[in-house]
Amino acid sequence: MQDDAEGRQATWSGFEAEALPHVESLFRTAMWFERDRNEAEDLVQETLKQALESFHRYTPGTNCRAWLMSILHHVRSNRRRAKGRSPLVFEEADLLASTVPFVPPVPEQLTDADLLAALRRIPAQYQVVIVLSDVEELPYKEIATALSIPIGTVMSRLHRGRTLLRQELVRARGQVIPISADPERRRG
Amino acid sequence: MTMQCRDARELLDSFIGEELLVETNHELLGHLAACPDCSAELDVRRRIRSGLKQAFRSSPHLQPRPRFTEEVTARLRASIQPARRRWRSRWLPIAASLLVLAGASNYFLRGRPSEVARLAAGDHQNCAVKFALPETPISLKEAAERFDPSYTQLETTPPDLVRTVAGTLHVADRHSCVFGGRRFGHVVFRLDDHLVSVLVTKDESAGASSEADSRQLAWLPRTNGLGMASLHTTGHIVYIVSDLQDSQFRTVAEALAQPASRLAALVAAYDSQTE
Repeated sequence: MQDDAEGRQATWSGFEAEALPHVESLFRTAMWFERDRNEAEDLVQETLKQALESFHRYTPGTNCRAWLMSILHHVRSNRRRAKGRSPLVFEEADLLASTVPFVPPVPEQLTDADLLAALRRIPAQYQVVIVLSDVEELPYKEIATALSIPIGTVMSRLHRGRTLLRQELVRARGQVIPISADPERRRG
Repeated sequence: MTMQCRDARELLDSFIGEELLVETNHELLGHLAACPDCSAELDVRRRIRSGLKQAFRSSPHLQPRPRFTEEVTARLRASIQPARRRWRSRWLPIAASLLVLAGASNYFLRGRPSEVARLAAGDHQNCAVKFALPETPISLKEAAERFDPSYTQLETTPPDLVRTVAGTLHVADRHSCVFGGRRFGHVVFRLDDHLVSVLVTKDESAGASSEADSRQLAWLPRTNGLGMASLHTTGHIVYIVSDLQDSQFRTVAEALAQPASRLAALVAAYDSQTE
């Protein structure tokens, strides 16, 4: 019984030190995708609950934020499936990843609102990888694990998503200037 | 072989993300040093990346409530405590008192809801459903210290998970909030797509309420489309409020008002697991 108590305390101490510092980060990601504070809080709560229950599987010293993000996206994916909504996989759209028409110049002055509004306008599967890569700074491998997709898909979605994001940033400012993505061709 | 601009552009994102092999990294750096166009492109990509990160961290809409981390931590810490100790040290005295309060739970009373009941309904709608209270809710601990020590009971009662035949209630939040000038201790449960509030507030009428005989679960008329029930204790009123349909609402309210029977089942289950 004493061992149980000590084990629980050790688990809690480790969890408190490694996982709880990432609550705000988890919430921001959850809030971005859920768009509802109740849903986001519930998602974070469930994520941390599952993380605590399986904390023995976490390897101390590895990327705990990536591990938590992975759990969060699995929880979210399962919930969407349970609610009858499609999971966050859009293979058909991925086929378009290699057909980026142009990369427009980005306005010099970008506000937070510009960036968030532009990100919101691109398809969800690209938002996810951009948020995990650019905001959460997860490595490709961790993103692939979190979303249960191949690393190649992570890279193609990032490429496509970032291009779409730039297009949206330009469109918002009314500066659509089609320029080839191929710098060799641009130089003539 | 010298790297071309097209190859360099394809590597820029991986370069920023520190995903390149050392050799490729070195080759790209060499190209960037000699190519102002690609170097400028790198700056743009870095600007967007850092801008996004900053936007997420500064957008008020994306930030958690001030007490969210504290509440999540408390719930998680409670969940890892030994079940037997929690039930016996915290639940038994509360259960004993609530057993008396629950009394004849099928007692029905229909009448005009009091002003306090209307405020409870308003609090459910504006706090639990809409998050639209003018005054930011505070933790139960702070509310207990500043306004009413009894609010501390709501930190663990009702429990985080309540099973009913209508479904399992999961706690979404515990706090103290103010609506219409009245302070409530507030526990919000989620049941599928519905919210159920347990709201505790002081009863200044000292037993003169028209809503129920004291210490009996009373069913109030639906208010603003919400099902409502109340319990009167010495000095406090407990409201249960939800948008659930009548039959479901009664099932849920009775489950919330009968901790003793549920406690007995839980203790029995716990004992059977540990023996």
